[in-house]
Amino acid sequence: MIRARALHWLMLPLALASAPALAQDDPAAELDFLSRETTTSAGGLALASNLSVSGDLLGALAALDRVLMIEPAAKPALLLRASLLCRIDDKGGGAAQLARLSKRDFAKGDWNQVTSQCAKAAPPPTKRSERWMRPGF
Amino acid sequence: MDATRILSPANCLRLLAALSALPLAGGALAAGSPQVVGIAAAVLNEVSIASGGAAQMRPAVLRERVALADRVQTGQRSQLQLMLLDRSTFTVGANARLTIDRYVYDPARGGAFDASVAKGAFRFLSGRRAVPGASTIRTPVATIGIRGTVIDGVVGADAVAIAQAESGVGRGASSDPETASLIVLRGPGAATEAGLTVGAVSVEAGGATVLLQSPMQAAYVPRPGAQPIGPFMLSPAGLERIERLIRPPLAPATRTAERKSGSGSKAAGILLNVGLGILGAVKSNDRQSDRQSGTMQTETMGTQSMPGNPAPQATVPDSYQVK
Repeated sequence: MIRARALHWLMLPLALASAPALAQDDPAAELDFLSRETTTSAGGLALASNLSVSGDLLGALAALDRVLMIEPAAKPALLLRASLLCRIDDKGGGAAQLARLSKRDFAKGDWNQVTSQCAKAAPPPTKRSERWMRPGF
Repeated sequence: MDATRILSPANCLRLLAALSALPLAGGALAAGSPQVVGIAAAVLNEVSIASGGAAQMRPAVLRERVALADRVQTGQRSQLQLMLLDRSTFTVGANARLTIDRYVYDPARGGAFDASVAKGAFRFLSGRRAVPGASTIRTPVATIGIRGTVIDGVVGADAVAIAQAESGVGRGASSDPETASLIVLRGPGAATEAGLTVGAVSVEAGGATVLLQSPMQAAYVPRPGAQPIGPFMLSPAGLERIERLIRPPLAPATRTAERKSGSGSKAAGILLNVGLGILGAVKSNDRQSDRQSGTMQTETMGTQSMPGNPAPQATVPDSYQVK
């Protein structure tokens, strides 16, 4: 059972990568898969984790939004969300999320890793996003 | 072959029925089916949808297709996540109204859209296949241009309440509680990981445009025709209020179920390691977590159904049945 489930998670990236093939039949089929994986907190947490490992941090945050919809107090999901917010440089959001959690509820390594991610100093604001912005955009 | 058998009354009737169906099928094809833009990826409690120009709302079903111009609406203590084909998502809180007015999607090139939020709180996350800088979200008083962005927004009386408590706005602004709009950029910031597009937002209203370029910058449009106030940094208290609007408090019975589930156990922290890069650790804990959350979900979804509301829509999927 556990081995089968582990294989399932290992196949996740492959399943996501095969989306174009699915899309030929039904462009929303891939979305069904992503939605279905988040109907339990364990499944959603694993999906979010896999997405974040693959670099899809916003996809992971969206998955956690779904998880927290069905289990608002899922603390592992809340801690992972804090981590992701800090990783996308939303330090304020990550700090606010962490402030609602208790260190005692988590393994020391997990907690320390997330708090250190959120403690990294943000660089000064840049103006690189101004180029695409024009009045009337 | 016997011609009388081929032209028997029964066969003639079948032929006639088949021929009569052809114009209908042709008509349906000519009219074209609605353009699917995404799915209802998560549905909690009272969420309804009206297809195209239909006036009457009907209960939304989990993973049902959402088409262009469909009007989606949430009730009290309700939430919805709409996932577009490019994997962009709108997560909306209670008492919200959302419509996708335009959507262009090419799997090879990505997606772009225009959406309207008439009321309520929402969070938008750009999808991996979104075309940067090609999408807009309209509120009754503002047009929000987005790029590679996570934004939170509030339209209505809650926007007024939050904005008036912010030092960047104050109580001096004359606001319309029906249409006032508050927009907050959440990220990704300049120090984002994974090479994400740095998020930016333009808020246009009353002939002026305000640019939001770093996380927690916000703009407020108090009424129709007014120019945006901002950018200002949203306070932690303001952020907390927005979070509560997007994820509204649940019914007391549900909270009891959450406590029973032990969802905050240290053991569950093992799963977190996957997100932090330790893929193999998921194996040792998934059975226990499945059992906990499977029960919790059943209880949660069951207890949140309120009198007069449609039944909760989420179901335990086949792959996660508790063994």
